[in-house]
Amino acid sequence: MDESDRYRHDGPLAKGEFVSIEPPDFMKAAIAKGRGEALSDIEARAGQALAALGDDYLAKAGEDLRRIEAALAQLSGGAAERQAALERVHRIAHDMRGQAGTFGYDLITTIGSSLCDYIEEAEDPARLDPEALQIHVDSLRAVLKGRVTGDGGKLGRELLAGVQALVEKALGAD
Amino acid sequence: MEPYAFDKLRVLLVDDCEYMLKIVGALLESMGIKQIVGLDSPSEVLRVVERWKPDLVIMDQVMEPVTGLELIRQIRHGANRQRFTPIVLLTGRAHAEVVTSARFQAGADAVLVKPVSIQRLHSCIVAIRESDRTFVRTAHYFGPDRRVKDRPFEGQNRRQSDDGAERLTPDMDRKPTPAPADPEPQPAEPPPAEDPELEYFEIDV
Repeated sequence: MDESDRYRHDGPLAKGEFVSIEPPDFMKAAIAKGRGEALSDIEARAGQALAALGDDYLAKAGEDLRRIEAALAQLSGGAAERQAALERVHRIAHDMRGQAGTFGYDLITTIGSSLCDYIEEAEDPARLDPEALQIHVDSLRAVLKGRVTGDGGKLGRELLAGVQALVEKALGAD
Repeated sequence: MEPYAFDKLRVLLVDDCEYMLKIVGALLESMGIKQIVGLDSPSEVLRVVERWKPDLVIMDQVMEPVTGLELIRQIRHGANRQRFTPIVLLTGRAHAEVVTSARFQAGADAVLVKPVSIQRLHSCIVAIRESDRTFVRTAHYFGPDRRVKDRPFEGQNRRQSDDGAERLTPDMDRKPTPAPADPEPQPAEPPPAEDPELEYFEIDV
């Protein structure tokens, strides 16, 4: 097998056949080892950068929450409209959970994950309990309004217990 | 840990959520990376990869209209050297299905679970830089070689909990192992079930 064959992806390989390839270098030439900043300096600068972004985070999360509420308001529409609305809710909640932990809002991550899971597990939009959806929104709002970081202590436990109870009830009712 | 200089590194960052682009972009800039292209349109990725030739692609999994996994497959199926570009997949949840597909089917170099911290990101990029990165082509796979049967299991290096930034660093002194004369890459162990505390950070070195 010549060199050109080695780099061809769709060559005729039978099951069990394989070709090992030494790829061109991408990283070693671009990242110099032995010089550069200490990780502690990088961490300090990252902390400052995230703090600056964090100033905007609550406003961004509040806007996300309003978009979720707007989408939930469309659940009373037709089947296609409901499906589209739920996909929007899932998408926004997914983004929220991915962002929140960076700024210490772990409860947003947890509640956002719960909302995503609930939508995924229900599958059919018609099976979703409006009350179970709404408690996610209310809990997210409480966390943002109270600027509750970390696990939220007692408040966090209470919020999560409320969410979990309604989700279990809704899923169990099916 | 030895210091690394990232100022020459070219990173393509892809996420259709602009705010995530800001977050991860800020972390990359904190590392001294000066050449960052942020894309919120996954449909532009292949064109940018081909023309700009990044040294590293970091992309989200959940995107529309095409997912990160599908984009990785498309990059790996490319016709030029960019098919070998190191790729890190970001995912909101450590679904075993996504991690398995990313590593054993699509050909990602690493999977990082959000939220992304500077420690994880730094360790991930350094680990790829230090890794062997031998590729393998089979009838159904093209990507980093996952065969590990002749390598001892190094659980401490291969899966780490959230608090172990420095422990994420792989064994830098270990020599690359020649590819065994054995067909079809096989995972070293079955993919674990989802665990929100588990960081999937797996670089075969």
